[in-house]
Amino acid sequence: MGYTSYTKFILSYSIVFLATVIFGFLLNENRVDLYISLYILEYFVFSAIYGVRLSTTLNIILFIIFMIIVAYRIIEILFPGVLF
Amino acid sequence: MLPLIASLLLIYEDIGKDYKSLLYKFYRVGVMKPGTLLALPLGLGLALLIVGLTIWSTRLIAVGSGILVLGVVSYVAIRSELELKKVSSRFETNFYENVLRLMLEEFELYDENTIYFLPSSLGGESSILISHKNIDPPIDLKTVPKRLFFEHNGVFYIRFPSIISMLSAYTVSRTNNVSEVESQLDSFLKDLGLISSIKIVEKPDGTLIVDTVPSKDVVINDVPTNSFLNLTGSIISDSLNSILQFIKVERNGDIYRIYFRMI
Repeated sequence: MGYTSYTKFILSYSIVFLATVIFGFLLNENRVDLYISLYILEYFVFSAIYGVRLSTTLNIILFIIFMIIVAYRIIEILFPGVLF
Repeated sequence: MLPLIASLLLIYEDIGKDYKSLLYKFYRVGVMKPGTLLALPLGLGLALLIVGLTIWSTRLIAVGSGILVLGVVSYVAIRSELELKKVSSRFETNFYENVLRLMLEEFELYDENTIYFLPSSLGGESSILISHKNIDPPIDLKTVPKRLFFEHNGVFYIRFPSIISMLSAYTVSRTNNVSEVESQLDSFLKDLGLISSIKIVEKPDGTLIVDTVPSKDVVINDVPTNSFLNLTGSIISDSLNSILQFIKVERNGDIYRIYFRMI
């Protein structure tokens, strides 16, 4: 079937989102930041795979959220107990 | 989850059918317009997120935030695809207009002419026939040679593929019903961002009157290169499988009235 790149992107992203939630629950994973960072990572990976050009604003927002999560985890490792 | 379920349902429904974009179909048939697509997951995602935060369930928060992200991403993807389609169609129509303008200038058919729209049943593809002089009828239109430029009884003609042959994303469906043509035209022209409304009235003498309110910056005139005129004439002619002669354009405020005659 001749789906466009955008259709393939959204279908793949929906499936991977579902898989992330299912595997996360099966592994008894309770860290919300891990789920969110995976959603963001999947978004960037699939938009790159299918070569779709989406909103620059959305890309920046998701990247900032991702960076905040990464920074939080790095600070937690380097300076344990500084953050809540 | 909702976009996924809707997508899977539509895939199941359309297995074996030939169409280009599932997302586009959501939009076209109005099953799920971009705004609706955003509203559904936003509502569900926010509800789950709030409940998750209230009772502090990390799983609910994870699913809620995921659905929120998925909804926003789906919405942006649909908007981007529609925008891309619009931009590429504009590029194609601009290219067509420029080529046709050059041809008309080259063959000196620009000043005084009569425009006819031929359906694809006459010669394989929908085309526009432009005569050098205002002669009525200029030639037996059912036997027009399939040539770019030809002369008949001292009148020069140019036969050029119509603008819909450039727009690969669109296909015209045959019908005998003018209201179905109006709905096709409405859908085509709205997708291209050319109009806000359109209405077709058929008179008993075979005259078709098209009343339309174009979008801002869209110009409608009686020049053959005008993409609106070309698109409207070609779609009506091809869908009704009838030869169409363009008569005139009138303007009354924001409303344009285009007259065609079925031959």
